[in-house]
Amino acid sequence: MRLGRTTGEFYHSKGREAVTDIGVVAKPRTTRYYALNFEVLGTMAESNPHFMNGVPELLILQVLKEREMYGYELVEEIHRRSGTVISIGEGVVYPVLHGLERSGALASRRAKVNGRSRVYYSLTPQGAARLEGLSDTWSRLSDAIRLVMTGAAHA
Amino acid sequence: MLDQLRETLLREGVKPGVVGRYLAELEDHLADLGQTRTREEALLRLGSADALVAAMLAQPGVRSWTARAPWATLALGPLLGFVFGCFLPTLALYLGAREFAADKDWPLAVARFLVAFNEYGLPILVGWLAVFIALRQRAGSAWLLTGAVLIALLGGGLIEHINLRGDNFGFGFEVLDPFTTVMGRSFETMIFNLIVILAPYAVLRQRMARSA
Repeated sequence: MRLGRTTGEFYHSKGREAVTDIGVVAKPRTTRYYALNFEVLGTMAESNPHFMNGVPELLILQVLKEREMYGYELVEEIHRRSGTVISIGEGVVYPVLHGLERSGALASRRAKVNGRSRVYYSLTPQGAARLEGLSDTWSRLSDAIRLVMTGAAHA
Repeated sequence: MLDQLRETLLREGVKPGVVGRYLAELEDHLADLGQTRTREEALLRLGSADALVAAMLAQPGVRSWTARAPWATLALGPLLGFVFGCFLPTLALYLGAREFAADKDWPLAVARFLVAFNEYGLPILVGWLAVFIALRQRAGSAWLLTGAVLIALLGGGLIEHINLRGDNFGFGFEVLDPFTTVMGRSFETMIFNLIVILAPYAVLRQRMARSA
């Protein structure tokens, strides 16, 4: 079996499978998928995407905390702020946005810009609370990783 | 690519409204990307069709009722729709006529229309609604055919009685044996209903298959 660079994994009732840059390996028969929607270029997301669960939501909520944005603007902003290290899949950001909106974390409004209908997303109070929780989790995780990396816990 | 994506998402059972919004946002995104890049580069940045489909299917609550329970939306739902569609307007007419217009003529005209509509029009309209849902959501044909047969059978055998005068004030329904013919109805009506319900489905489905 030829495998390309891993960009995510799908899970379905019969197990899991890798998704690579050459395509999906063994498409599942079921229609229940769970996908990870972003990649951190050249880092651990390639080998262990579990570590990155919740990060796309965290980044999206954090960026939208400051002001409302539309999808393209949001993707560009995350890319820019991460020093071009984090690249959220541009098309796959929308299902994440829709999911966050359905769960009440985001609100959206349509606006006409240059004759085009554009959807702007903004953080709700519920989203702000979710951001706080995700930030805490991620901070604790990154602190723990740093401790392991530096060996500080043994010092 | 976006047309293909629309078809794939609909076939995977994603709600048409969700698909429409997703594609509108992707088109808008492509337009933004296209301001500084070629179309090919923009499509590459947008992501592969597999990735776009998987990202949508990963979200909870995006699959339609028709995808999750086709028996409910294409068979049971239309059948119940037909039953309540017959019963509720007739009940409303009966109560309205009894309370407010017992001696008026207009309830009789409405009753005549209602009887004709319930016996001849409603089965076909409900069947077409199921056909519309099935086509719009790219559903398989098994449950639609089941629903259409049930509606055609019930519609073919249905006789409605409404009496808004005298001692027998009231209404009732009777379903004839669908395989005998009484008053020029029943079996022939059932076949007629079935053909009229399914003919647009056959034509439109063939057309959609050709254009896919």
